[in-house]
Amino acid sequence: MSMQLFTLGLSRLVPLLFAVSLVLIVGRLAYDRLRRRHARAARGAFALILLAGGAAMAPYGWRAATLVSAEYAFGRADWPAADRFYSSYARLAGSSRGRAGSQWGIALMNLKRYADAEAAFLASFPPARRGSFRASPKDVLSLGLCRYYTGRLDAAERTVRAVSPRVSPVRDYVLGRISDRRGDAGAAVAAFQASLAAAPCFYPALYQLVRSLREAGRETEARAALDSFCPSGARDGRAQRAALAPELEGNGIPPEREFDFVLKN
Amino acid sequence: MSSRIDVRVEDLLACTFAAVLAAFVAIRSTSSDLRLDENNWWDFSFILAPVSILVFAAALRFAWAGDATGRPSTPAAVGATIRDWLPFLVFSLAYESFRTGIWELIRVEDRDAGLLRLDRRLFGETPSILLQRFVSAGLSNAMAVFYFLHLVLPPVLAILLYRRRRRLFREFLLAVLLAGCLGSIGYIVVPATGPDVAFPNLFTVPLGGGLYDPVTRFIDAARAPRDVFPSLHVGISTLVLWYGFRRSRATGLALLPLVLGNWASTLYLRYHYLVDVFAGWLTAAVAAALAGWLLSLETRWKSRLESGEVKT
Repeated sequence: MSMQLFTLGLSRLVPLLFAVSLVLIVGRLAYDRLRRRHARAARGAFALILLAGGAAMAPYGWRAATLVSAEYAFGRADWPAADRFYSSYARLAGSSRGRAGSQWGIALMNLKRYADAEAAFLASFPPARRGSFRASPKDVLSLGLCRYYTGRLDAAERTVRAVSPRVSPVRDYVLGRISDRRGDAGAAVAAFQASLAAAPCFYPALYQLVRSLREAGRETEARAALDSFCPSGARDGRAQRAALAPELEGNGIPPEREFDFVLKN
Repeated sequence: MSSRIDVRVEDLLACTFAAVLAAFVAIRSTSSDLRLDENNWWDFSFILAPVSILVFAAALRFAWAGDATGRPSTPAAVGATIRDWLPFLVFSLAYESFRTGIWELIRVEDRDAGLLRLDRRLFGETPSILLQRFVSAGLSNAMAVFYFLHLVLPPVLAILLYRRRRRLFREFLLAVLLAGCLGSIGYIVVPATGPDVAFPNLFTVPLGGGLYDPVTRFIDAARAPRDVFPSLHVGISTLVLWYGFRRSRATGLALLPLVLGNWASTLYLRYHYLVDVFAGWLTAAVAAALAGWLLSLETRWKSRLESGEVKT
């Protein structure tokens, strides 16, 4: 059982225990009060309070169970189930702000439902002052990815640029792809190089960089990029190169290819 | 009569601290929004779990007990339980208050560079960098678990003490609260993010592992920003060890490897500089000494009041 799942369950159990305690105490106090006058009424009142308390807590319990199930499915990378449970959770008036919404967005990205994922990410951002939102850099980057994959390049660029390049090499990679799709090869190459500078073993950036350079007839630079990819000493460098280099072997222009990214939060 | 003067030192301290915090929240919320999210609640739930179990057990006994005659008042017992654990809750509140950017009140910049410099001057290098040569998936997993124990050990020891050693329980929780107060002052005066966040370029060997990834993801999500100097991880676990040994030699010995692992993990996982660790030990020593002194002061004060009342 994952740490998140355990903690999530515990965090829902604690208020439930307090609520059940309150119901038990109120029920018994009512019972003690009525017992001397009418024993049967006292038992009835006790049972009624317990039932009413149970009924009042049921939606909370059901919602909590749904969220824990969603977290469990998410932890097992069972994206259809995670989507199903997170959407049930939202229907049961569970808050999509914060972690739940962000996880739902990730599940939807894994299902390649980028428009829905964008909505889930937006719903997960708690509002701040003056119409702005608070969000983690990775969630903003994920939002940018959703916009990029749905073809909204201007919106994607604005969103991705709001994130620091230190957050992930995907940031510069996406900016490179946006420039690429706009036909600005120079900007694309610079962005792919920036992405590789941040993460020397980031294969998608190398792929697009080599493709862009070869399209522009800059074979020497393409070869240099291949040679400097994932230098030995970096983790798994040799294995990475052996596994990935064949795709870029020779002098031909590699085919246009889209890599799908889902960022973990 | 004595019930009228049954005010505890931790009540005063907790209420004062909570009042200061409430005032801060009121002032701060006029200039920026405050937010507590799911992850904040996770921290709280660990601390609240023992209280909720104790309250639930009391409620269960009350609901299905026999005749009401001569039975102690359960609502009062529940209130007393919550009051007993209040210092823990206030400590948690203090920690969570750092999510509001409380350190920005005095507008100091992050002090990571100074802490790193201090480590290098005193010890030659900050240990997180030196420890890179030992990095392996197994060790990273073990260290992540040790690091996580800071959420587990204090409530576990507290509940052990609560059953039989109520006075020691009070002293332990008071020391935790005092360490929280001292730690908060440190966080405000010396805000820092730790070597991993402040100087990622210094590390060439990445940390990773099957347990490491989910555990640190959780820790990072629940962690308050700028909680570096002093290391309350070290401070609180030192208190756990100290009061564990005071409970019994066996408890102390059982806790010793876990606490040692906890200390090592703060450096291995790159959350702290070595000066933070020393500051954590100092915080624990001051907190434990103050807690003992304040409780003996309370005892003397109460006995003087009671003897005064008896004379009149």
